[in-house]
Amino acid sequence: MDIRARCQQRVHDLLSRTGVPHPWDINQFLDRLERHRGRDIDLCAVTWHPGVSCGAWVPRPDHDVIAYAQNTSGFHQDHIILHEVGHMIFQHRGRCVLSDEEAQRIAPDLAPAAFAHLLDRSGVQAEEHEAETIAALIHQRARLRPQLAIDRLCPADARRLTRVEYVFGA
Amino acid sequence: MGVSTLFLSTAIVPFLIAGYRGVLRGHGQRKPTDIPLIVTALAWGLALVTLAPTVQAFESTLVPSLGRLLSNVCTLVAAFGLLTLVSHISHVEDKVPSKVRVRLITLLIVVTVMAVMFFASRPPSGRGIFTGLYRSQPTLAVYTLVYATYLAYAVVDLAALALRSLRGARSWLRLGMILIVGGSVLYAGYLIQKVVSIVNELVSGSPAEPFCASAFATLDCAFAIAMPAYAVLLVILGTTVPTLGPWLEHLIRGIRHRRSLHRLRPLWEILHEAQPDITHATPVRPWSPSWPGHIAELLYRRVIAIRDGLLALQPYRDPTDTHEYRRQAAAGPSDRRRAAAIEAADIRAAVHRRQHNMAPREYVPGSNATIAQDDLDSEVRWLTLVSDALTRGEPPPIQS
Repeated sequence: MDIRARCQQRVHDLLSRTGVPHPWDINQFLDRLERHRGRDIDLCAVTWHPGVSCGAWVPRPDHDVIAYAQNTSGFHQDHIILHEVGHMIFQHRGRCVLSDEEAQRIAPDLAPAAFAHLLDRSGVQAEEHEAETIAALIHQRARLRPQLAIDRLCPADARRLTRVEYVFGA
Repeated sequence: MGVSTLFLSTAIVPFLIAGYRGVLRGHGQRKPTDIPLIVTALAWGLALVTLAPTVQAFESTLVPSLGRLLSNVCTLVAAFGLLTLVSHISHVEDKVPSKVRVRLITLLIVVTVMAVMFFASRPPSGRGIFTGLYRSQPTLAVYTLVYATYLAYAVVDLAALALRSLRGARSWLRLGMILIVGGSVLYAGYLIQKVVSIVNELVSGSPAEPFCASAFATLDCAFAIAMPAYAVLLVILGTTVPTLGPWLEHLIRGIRHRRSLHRLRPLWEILHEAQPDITHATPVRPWSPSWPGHIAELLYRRVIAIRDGLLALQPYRDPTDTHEYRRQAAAGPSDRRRAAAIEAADIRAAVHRRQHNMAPREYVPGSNATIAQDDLDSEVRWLTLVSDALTRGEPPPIQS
């Protein structure tokens, strides 16, 4: 299975459980992801400086930390966060790319040892490609307006409407 | 409008839709409801063709009023297709085959009764109009009433389902359900008028159906000819719009995305030239076999690559480089085009610094106040303005 097919499968599996908030909101999506995984996710907005990556995922024993550059557009910020979510759901084990000094500057509240498995958005490895693809797929799915508004319906009506969509829809 | 023209031109739509469904089935994910949808469209197309007066003239040389029988049977097959779809929606999966079997047996019984009544009668040659014959040949009345009853059952079932599905359905699916309801109402009007006129003829002996030279010659003609033709059109479009609509939308969006991709190229090129490493965000080979999907992916990737490039370029931005231009711009009217021209001038200056390895006097991390684009569409709108300004080369003249 190639990278795209593997990522599509992962995204399909994930979103069928979490759903996608409409309208799109990264915080709501992360809330759903937290509930699905049973682990908290802390977002850490950092000001990007030359020489460091614009996003990072730090797995901690009881929660995950995602750092992202705040000095870019909201759309780009969402992509950076989703890229790190891609690393997270694939449980990538990348190399540490930051020095202790750089790690301290990005997230002063974390001990440098916490960056043992920190992953960034640079490089061309397969893991980066996977994370980039996951981010693109989730973000694109977020742009699709659902055909159904089943949240407002009782379960029986929602089931029937889903079947109507299946029969007549694409 | 001539009756043959109306029926034959309307028949093109269900045939095209049957072909479209067949192509979808050949290329996409197969669903058990594909076959009923294709059968319904084909049967309705055939029903209209065999009922067209020019075709009926030929059919009647074989058996008098054969076209009427063939058309009515095809319509009932289409109705059976719709009832099958309703079964798939209204019942759980394991109960569907038994429900469909019952409806198929009912169809066979109805068609058999109709055939027996038809051949037990002496229908007229030429066009299959039974006007004035219902009282003298009650078998033709039974034929028509059995036909109308089965069709009415299917139409009511479908309309009820479409009405219930209106709530909660959005955009294309909702439009499809509205068309189905509209078509069902027209069909109901046609069937009620038919039954009332037959009963009236049986009771009073007055002719039930007029001879119609055109579809809208009289009100009765509109009920007898135009309404069923338009009913078929609306229902068949209603079953197709939820599939076809999003595809057309996707195609139009693909064309728009291709144009945006082209307009973003100058901005991407200048950033790529200064920082070749931003290209890792652009896929080398197409992701999706479908053209619009592929273009959407490329556009998304290009926007991200541009944003990566702009972020990496931030250390080389120095407001003093474009101070004079900013001062002039501030004096003129403020709009997004002018802001984009300033951004383009900043980018040009930063790329120059980057290429000549000139650090700014003091690095100030960029604020996202002027670049706060939260979705792809607004990102594309803003970045294409910047890219267009780069393409124009010179900042636009300042108007005082």
